Amino acid sequence: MSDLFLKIVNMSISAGYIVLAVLVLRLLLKKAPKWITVVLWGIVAVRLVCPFTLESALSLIPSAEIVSPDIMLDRTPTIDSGIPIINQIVNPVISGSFTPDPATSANPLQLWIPTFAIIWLVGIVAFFCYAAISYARVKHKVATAVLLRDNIYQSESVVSPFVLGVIKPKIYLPFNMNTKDMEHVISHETAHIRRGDHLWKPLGFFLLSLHWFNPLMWLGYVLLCRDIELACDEKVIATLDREARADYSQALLTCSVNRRLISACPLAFGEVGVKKRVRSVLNYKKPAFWIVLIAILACVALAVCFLTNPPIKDENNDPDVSDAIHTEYDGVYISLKSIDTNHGGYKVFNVKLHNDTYKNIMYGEVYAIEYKDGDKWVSAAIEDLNFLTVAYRLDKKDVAYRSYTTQRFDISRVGTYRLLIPFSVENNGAYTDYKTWIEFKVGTDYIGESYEVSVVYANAAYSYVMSPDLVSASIDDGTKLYDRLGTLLGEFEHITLSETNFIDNVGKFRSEDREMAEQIVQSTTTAYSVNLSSPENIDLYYVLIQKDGSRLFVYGHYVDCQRNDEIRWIYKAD
Amino acid sequence: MKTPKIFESEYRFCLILWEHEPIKSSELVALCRNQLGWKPTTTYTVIKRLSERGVLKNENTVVTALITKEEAQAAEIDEMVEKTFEGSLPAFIAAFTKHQKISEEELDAVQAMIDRYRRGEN
Repeated sequence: MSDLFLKIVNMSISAGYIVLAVLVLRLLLKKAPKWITVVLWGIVAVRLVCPFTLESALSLIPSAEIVSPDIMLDRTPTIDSGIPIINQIVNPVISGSFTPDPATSANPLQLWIPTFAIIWLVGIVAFFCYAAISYARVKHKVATAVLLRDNIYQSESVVSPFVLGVIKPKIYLPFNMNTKDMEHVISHETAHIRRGDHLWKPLGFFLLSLHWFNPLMWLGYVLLCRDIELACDEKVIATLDREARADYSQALLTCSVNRRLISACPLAFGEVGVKKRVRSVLNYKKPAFWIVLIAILACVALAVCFLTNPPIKDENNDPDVSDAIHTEYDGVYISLKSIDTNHGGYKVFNVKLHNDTYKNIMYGEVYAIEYKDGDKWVSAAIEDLNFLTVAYRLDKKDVAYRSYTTQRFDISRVGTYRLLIPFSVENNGAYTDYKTWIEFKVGTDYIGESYEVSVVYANAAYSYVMSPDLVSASIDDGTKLYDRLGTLLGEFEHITLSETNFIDNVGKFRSEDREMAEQIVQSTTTAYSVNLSSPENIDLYYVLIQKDGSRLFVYGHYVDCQRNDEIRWIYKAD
Repeated sequence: MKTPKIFESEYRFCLILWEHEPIKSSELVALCRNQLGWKPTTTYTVIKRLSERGVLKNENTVVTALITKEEAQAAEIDEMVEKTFEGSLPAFIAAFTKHQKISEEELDAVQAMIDRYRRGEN
């Protein structure tokens, strides 16, 4: 329930942005046909009902998920409005007020959000009751309405004409109308039915009832009702001559004078300021083609910019963290929630410590980051680490949120690392120590989908220019090379490995490297280089097919297409 | 005796009754369905309401009028003023949707607007 509520809140906020955009467009499109503005509201409605959205770089919605469902469990609850200044102002307040009390370890939002969700639900129920009751009342009042013709009825209970009913809409008129006015009123109400307004308006009310906590939706609903009336007037008068338009305006005025009740019942058609309506009827001119065109383009632009969410930021420089669970004690494990990179050079892993067991466990401030050297784990610490000797308890079936910095560790080497947390479990009065960890890789990735690569050679001097595009480049059909984004880098061509194009470029500084390069030449059956498509691209890519069937992937930079070229990495793909 | 109150829609019903009386209520239901678009329950409700008011009587499912068409026409047909909607909205919704009852000046202004338009002054 809370999740659904938060989902609605997020949808509501992003729909709020469109409402604001529609308000602006309504002003700009004053001269455009009025049905356009109704279409604009339709776009708002799509955003309000459709939980799935496409991602688009053109999206003007600042953030797809402002309030994360995790906010209830966070140690420091924050929102992501997508607007830095708002985050800066709002987040300290939210974190300050809702940070868990260490004594109870409960985030107050854990209590508040379900409460809000219930209030929200009660509101919806109230809306539905209100709609149902007022529908039943009106229906009862017009039960004795007398058939005039077709679907048109007259009743002394009706003061102002309206349409009622969703499936078989009926038009209700008062008795004492003169024939001239009546025909205009009927053509107005018939136009409503033809336009499908008897469906759109209840739909609008339904959406309002789901988003009733959002004032912008109230504004939107009221303006929708007005725009529908104006659009309907427009549809009727488009075919009328001057004289008939004057009569139509007169009918509008007469009806509004007779009017003695507020028919704001959601399913009936209410009146909009008669002066405004008469004025727009009298001033109606057939909109020029180009205005209609601009208006339609504006609708399309609105749909593209606001029906899509911004792409989720892809942090390419994040370590590649494996999902696998590693623990020495079943049921107690850590999982990665996010990685903060804005901490000047080092990263912060935000993790969740889970205790799915029925025992309480103890853990402390102690953690480690280790590097995998062959089949041994070696500490990656660059200095002696002193931790506070405090212990925290994690109750059974509970989670804890922890953050760990890489500040005092060296994770610049290419390879596999783990973030390790020790904990202890009580067994018959004695505590036994266990470990849990997550593994992550630095500088390695996958080629295509099926090749896992390992580093054969890395020129340490250049390790900082490691390119994520390289390691994810895919060998498509054996003749062309694409990067991660699917851009063609170039086509493979046969080459023969030699001193100038390979051995010298690898073994420039160290004799071991030169020996390794010579060995590679020996074991290579076929060698390809990529003939780059773009003249600006100075990247060097080789694929070397080995005698044992494996492939080596060579990456570097061209300098002079001779001895000075730099080969920086060689990966092995099995 | 004072003529009982009859509303417009009830008067339309009575027109059918006067034409066909005495008439079985089930036949009246069929006629009302065709000519007035009424549901059977509506017709029965109206028969009951009017018999309570002394406009007609319903004995052994045969309906007869107790007043004549001329008597009814002589009496003023009431235009019922519907007040049910008023106050049924919470005030805060009403604030959005409510349009001030049109004032005399505004009425004149809009009327003048239409008149000017008719004269082609616009």
